[in-house]
Amino acid sequence: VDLDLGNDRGANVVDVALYLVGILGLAASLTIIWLSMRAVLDIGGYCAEGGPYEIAHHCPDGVGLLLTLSIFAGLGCAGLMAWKGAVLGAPYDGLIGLAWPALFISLGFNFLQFAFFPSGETGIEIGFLIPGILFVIMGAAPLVAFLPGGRRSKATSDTPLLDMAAATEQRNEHRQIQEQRSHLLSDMLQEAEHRSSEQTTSEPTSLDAENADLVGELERLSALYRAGSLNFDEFQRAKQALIDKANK
Amino acid sequence: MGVPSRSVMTVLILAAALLGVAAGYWIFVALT
Repeated sequence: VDLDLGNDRGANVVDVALYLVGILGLAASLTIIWLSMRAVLDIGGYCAEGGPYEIAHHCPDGVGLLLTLSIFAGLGCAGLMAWKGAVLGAPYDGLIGLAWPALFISLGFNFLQFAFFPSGETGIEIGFLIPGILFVIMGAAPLVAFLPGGRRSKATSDTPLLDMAAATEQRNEHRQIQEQRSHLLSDMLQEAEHRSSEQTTSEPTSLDAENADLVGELERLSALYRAGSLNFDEFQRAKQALIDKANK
Repeated sequence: MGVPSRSVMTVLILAAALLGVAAGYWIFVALT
């Protein structure tokens, strides 16, 4: 089922344009963060600028400023994308969720690459390996939940509309049974009243006993039906037979 | 004018993401 509610919510071309600007800015920010991190890893994984201390590892030119700016720009663009995504509706509102795996898996890849192939050294750099594994796990975990066969798809059906239709049908069936029961009850009451009024007009003594029998039988029948021992048709037939017998 | 169709939006989103990566690379190379 292809539902696109964007137009119903009054989304217009400006919302679409700002949403795309958000995506563009977020992609640019993630790219700058990724490249800046690689530049720092290239010189050993840490650097410093400014302050009163003698600095052993200066940062690559411009990286400090770029990294700082791109983090804030990325947050701003993610906010814009989430805001306009909410205006556009599904599936555009959920796309912002991919920013998390994109950030952590790409940075985790950097850590792992420099862990296994450290610049100017041989062997495995444990200091990069651990954060690399952690970043990849952090980035991939939400993705796994959305994969087919993941937690989300197990928790809910792939065909929610069909489920809703089935539930509605079930509700209708239940309502019909309730209506049948109430009709049945009112039939029985009417019959009982009818019998008792007939009884008062003629032959009170013998009909009293007959009527009491009929009501008693009907009550027992009703109890059997309520307990589930009889289905609706069986109950109706039995009730009719009792009434017919009493009328003879 | 409302929201474009699903397929047009998919193309626009992919284009924006690719353009963003290119812009980010260009900014990084230009400023470092």
